[in-house]
Amino acid sequence: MRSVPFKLKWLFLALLLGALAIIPLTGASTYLVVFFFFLFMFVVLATSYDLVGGYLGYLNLGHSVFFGIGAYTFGVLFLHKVNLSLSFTLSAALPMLFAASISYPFFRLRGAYFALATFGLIRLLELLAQNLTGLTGGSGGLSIVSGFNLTTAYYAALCLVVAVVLTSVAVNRTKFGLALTSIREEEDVASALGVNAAAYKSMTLIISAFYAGIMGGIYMWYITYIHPSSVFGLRIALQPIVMAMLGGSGTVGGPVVGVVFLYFVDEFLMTKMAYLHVAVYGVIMTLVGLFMPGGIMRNARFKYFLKWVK
Amino acid sequence: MISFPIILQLIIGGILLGGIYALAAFGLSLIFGVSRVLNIAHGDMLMLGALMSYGVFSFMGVNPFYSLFIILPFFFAVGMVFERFLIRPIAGRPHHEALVASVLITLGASLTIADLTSFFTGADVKGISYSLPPLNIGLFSVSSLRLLVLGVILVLTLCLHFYLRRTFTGMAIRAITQEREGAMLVGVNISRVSMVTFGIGTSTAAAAGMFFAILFAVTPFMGIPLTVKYLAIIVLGGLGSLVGSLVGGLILGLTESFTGFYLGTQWSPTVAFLVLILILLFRPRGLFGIE
Amino acid sequence: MKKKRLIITIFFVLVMAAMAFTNGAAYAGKAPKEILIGGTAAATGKFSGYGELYRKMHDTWASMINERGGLYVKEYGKRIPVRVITYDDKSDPNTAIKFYERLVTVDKVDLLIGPFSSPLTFAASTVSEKHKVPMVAICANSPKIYARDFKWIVGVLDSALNWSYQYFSMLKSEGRVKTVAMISEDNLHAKGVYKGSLKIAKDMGFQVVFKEIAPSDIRDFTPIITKLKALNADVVFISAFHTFEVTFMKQAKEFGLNPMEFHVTHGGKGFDSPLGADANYVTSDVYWMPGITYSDTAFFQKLLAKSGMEVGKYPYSAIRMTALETVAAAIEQAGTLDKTKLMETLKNLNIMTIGGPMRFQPNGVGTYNPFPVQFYNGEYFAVWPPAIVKTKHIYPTPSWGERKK
Repeated sequence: MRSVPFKLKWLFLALLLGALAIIPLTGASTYLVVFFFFLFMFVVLATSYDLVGGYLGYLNLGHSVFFGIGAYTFGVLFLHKVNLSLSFTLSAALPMLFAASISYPFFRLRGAYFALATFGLIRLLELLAQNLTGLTGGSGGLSIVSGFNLTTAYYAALCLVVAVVLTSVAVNRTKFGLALTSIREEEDVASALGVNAAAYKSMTLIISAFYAGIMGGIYMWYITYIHPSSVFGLRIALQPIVMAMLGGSGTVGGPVVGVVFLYFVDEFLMTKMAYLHVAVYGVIMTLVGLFMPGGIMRNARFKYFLKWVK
Repeated sequence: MISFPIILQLIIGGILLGGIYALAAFGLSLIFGVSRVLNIAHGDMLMLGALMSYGVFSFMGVNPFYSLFIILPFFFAVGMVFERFLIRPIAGRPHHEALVASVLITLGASLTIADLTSFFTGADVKGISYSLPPLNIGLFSVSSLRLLVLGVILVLTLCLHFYLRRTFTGMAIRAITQEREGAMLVGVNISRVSMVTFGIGTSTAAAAGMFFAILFAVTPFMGIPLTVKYLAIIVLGGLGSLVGSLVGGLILGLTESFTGFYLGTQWSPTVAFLVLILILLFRPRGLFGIE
Repeated sequence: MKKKRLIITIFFVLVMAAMAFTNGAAYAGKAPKEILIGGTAAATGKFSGYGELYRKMHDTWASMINERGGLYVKEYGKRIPVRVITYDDKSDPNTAIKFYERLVTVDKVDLLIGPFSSPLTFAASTVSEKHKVPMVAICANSPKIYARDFKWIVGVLDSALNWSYQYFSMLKSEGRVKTVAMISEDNLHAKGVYKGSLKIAKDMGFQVVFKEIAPSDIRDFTPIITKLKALNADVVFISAFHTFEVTFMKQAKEFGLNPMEFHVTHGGKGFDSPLGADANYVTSDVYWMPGITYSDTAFFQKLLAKSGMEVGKYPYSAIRMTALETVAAAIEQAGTLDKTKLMETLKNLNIMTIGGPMRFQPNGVGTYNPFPVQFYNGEYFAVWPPAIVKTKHIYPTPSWGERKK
């Protein structure tokens, strides 16, 4: 890092951001816009997951509940003609409230217990969304007519990406992050030394819920139709987490690298291969798990490559 | 509608469901206890076992119950190979890192298995058409097939119980589950035991798969949702506890059966998961978890 | 030196991106080289039982049309070959929406066909509506899809609410059934059919003695079957997909549940092959059967043979066929590839397909409805409407104990 002229790195990031920002304006195909919209969505989900899963070291396999609650909140409010900004505000606020209310009981669980209990939580919410037919439309789903907001949704998601990555940088460089890391490494020791573990843990969960929740709201606004398994299903639950793990949990770049890598691999396989793309995708995941402890970001060759680029 | 025959019917239904849950959960719990791995591919092993008994039944005409004699040893070997090549390499990593890697590896394996299976065998619903006439006792009838399945599950559980109590490897498995460092100190070969454990765990899943093929239906993509259910059961019972997974399975089975009758089947999984989360809140390490 | 490396890397990234987002076939000139039709089908994920076969079916259909020189487009005064682009949507709405955007903006298709299932059609139809590209929805009959006032979608199927009309008409005319028990799987499609059937049954004067919606992943039907045995309904009516139906039938036999008739909404290979002889006498609903000759049936049967499908095993291939027939008719009648004209033509279309007449209501809902058949020893026999019946409806079903081994 030190060998790199500081400005060059920022220039590169600014260029990238600028390029992403003008995509919808260049008259490029909307496929490209949708493609990046979902990429952004995964970056937001993976990075916000990683605040808890990576820095804090609590494997929150149920991160997508916040996304789902956000999406349903937005959908239900929109359907009842609540104004747009209030709908978005609540689609962020409700997941945060939910996070606050589960943080005490769930954070009593440690290690694999926490992972599994949160995993069970998604299933519970999926079932509730399925059964509370009056509110959510049940398995029939929730359909709204919101106009076609691809471009707006794109910019909203892009802003969220910037915000969530900046949050991750901030956590990485401040005392707050240091406290989280100490909890990850030795929670009991950290508490004994005066770190208020409970407060830090629930703070982090609430922040991560904010991003996932508002992303859920934007998603619903754009896609206009959700049903319980499309927002509380296993696919949306596991994909961002796997991406974060694959890229390198607990680093700023990790989740982003993981998302970009898997997303491009997926897209490439889906469009160029007629059969067995999921199998290949699975094999790639397994190989990374086997041979890249700590994910791509912590891989020696990848680090070397980063240096080489710079 | 609280009459004796109905209650009995529901209890039998619940126990059977719970028994099948418990059998595979047992294996998953063993695996977690010894290797400290969340094996997401467990449900896919169940699916493969179900498909194998289906294959043996429809192409060779072997009675599904006898096919257990092929399935159990075959999947024992599959489990050992799985452990050797996919789990052993990450065994030495620090705790948190190993947990993350195990999710990546076993989820990857699960996706691969499901996709390959659907490619080679087709994705349609499969099942074994095998049944026995119901037993009519007085006013109500009991499914004799279910009683038979329950009997076989009981036998398998007893075999496992004695294996864990009476043999050296069995005792080593229990020792590792209860006191990992202590077991290492007295010279238990963890990697060998871990391989055997994977073998046992995988073959219990495959055996449960055989019951799935007879009683329910099989599709290549049923694996992951089942794993979620099994993980819930072993968390309920306490990770690594064998009695726990048995009790957890039965609680889940009976809850589903009774809720299904009195509130409507629509609510039975919801209530089952609510029970799970409530128990966890009061006993953070499950019913029989080791503190 | 370092800058050079950065530039090289950026260059590679750009080249890769360009490869991923562009399509070799450019679309230019007056008379297009080919007519492009696009859609997705799930080759992976939960609806994948049919996905791969449907892709093959699309390709075979196109090649059979092209053997005749393609579709005649009046504007260019000649026949133009057809190509169908089929992507795999993984049964995932996000993937579906992405590929529909790709079909419209990268592949630049002239007309879209819908994905498999209603939930995916919700997502996909927002794309056709936004870009004003006509879409012919295939296996999607949720009334909610057409309640959104979308202008660019028509669907060949009649609303799910009318699904059971033929079946209950048969029961009514036979006059032997009085009570019905209804069970539905908890998903969009099955519940739509269930709701419609409930209303139809009541309107026709049947007594619905039991109704329940059960979760998709239910394994144990003891609670339901226990109640059913006490109620003794004449017909047990199940609106669900295969896994659910098969599990139910197995347990019905286990417990000796003996109604006069079992009716399941989805038959076909996935239903009868796991059940074997236990599927005998069960009635089900299908969209087409050999022997029904409304339009060019020989073409359809040749197409099935070439794509390796059998209609008995894949009853929904007929729906796809009517959709393809609709697409072809719309293009030839419009005489142009202009999207507005195509959509106009579609809305006013009145043609004969293999499944009967096809017209669309102003909101886009089609006219295609299934009719009841009965399964016996590996085959389905039509039992209604009278015009196509060759074998008699066997009623009541012999009890499990009376059946031959």
